[in-house]
Amino acid sequence: MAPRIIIGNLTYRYFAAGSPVFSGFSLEVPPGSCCALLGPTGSGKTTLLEILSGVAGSQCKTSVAEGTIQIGEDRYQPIPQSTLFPNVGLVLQDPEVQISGIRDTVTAEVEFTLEQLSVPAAERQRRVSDVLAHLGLSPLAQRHPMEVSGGERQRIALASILVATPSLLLLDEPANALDSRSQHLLKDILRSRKGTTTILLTDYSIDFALGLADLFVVLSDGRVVFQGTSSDLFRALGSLQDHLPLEYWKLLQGRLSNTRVKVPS
Amino acid sequence: MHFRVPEKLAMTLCLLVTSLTGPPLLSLTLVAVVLLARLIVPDLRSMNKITARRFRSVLAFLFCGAIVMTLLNGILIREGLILFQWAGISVYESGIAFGIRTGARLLLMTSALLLLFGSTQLSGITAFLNRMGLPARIVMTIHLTVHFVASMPSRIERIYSAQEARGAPVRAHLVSRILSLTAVLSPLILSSTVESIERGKALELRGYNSSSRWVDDTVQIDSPYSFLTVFFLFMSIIALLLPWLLG
Repeated sequence: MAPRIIIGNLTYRYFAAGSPVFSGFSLEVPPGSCCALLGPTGSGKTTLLEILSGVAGSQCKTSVAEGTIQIGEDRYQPIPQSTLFPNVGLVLQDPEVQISGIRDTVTAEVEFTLEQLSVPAAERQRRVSDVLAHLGLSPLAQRHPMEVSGGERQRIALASILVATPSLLLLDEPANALDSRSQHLLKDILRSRKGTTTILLTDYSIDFALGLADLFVVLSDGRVVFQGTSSDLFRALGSLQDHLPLEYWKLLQGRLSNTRVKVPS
Repeated sequence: MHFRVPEKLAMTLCLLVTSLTGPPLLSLTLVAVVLLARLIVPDLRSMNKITARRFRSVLAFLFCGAIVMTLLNGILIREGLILFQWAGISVYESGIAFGIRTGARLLLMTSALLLLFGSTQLSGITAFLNRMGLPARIVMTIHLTVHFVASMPSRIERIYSAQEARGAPVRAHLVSRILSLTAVLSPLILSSTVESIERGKALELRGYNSSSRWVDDTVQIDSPYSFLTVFFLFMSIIALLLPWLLG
């Protein structure tokens, strides 16, 4: 079942003496929806995904956090201290890193995830085959995972996480360096997961998230400066000028204008 | 005659031990045997064209390097008979002998390792090691290290291209290549470190931890017991003991 995400009054620092990445940050994402985190570089988008996946608590031992995080029925105070995989799956920005490269075929690479979860062999093969078919990767099943195109690699990275059927899917800049055909394909895949999976994705430029996300959250310096639909964002854009760096505000304005977001009268 | 992972590992061990303990003539003979075996034994052939090309180019580069090194040793180590003199430069017997010994050793070691990694999938080697009882964490470390070393040339190439794109003549000629090493080294170390951290994170995000299993029990793993494995292991012991026995 897709979980509801509730982040309550989160304050997070990488070091005790450091400046906070988030300060009193609160957010609620409805179950089964797709939420796009927008914001300029350094606004905390990736850090938020890492906190939710548990990898921030597990890898950054010097970090200091306050507040609460609730993912479905599980409540963490302040943040998860170990990775929440397979319930929560994070697809990293660089698919080359996500793909271990230690397996010789796409099938084996995706299966590696299920081996870690001690899934029986027959079940593994069925699930890998299903996920490859779902992501349009079946023709590449016997290819080396590193000898494919950028878009295909992104889908393999996604498959390596989706095969574990996480109920919360986190994607860090999934459209990064993808051509428009691959972006459309990825968008369709994510659309098909909505309802059964809660999706949180980061998108520097709003292009990929438009037409996919139900909820748009704009971050700046670790604070939520906007939360709502794309139409709400278009309407509120003028008031965001003071909260965002000018270049980023102009980028958002340009993209929203170009895609002609429908503003209800 | 089948060379599977255990036989190949035992053969590599035997060749490495012989390269360290055997005389240069034996090492050079074994290099010739390795080259011949690559051509006539199907299991020892390179997996693909890229590995075959790498095998040839690395060995050719090393062979040239060994000749230069032998000559330099002959000139710099001034002991024993003078073999020949030319333009005031003398070449000494001891230096040449030392150079041949070191060169032959290097050639045999390299060809043995290239033969193993060129003809065997890395996953096959690590799966076998894991099945033989090596802990998953060590197997993973070996696997990632070899994978990382193998990706190093392309990483260096990318950095060279990036420096060139900035207008630095890093590949103009040999001198500029050497001078640009510092400019290449720092991004190389930095990018390698960042990638190692990211890879660790990525593995954790896919459920990998120290107690994780490495391979599926249903995967067919080669039995380590065969005539060839025992033969190569026996020869390794002989190669280790013979110099000591002969004094």
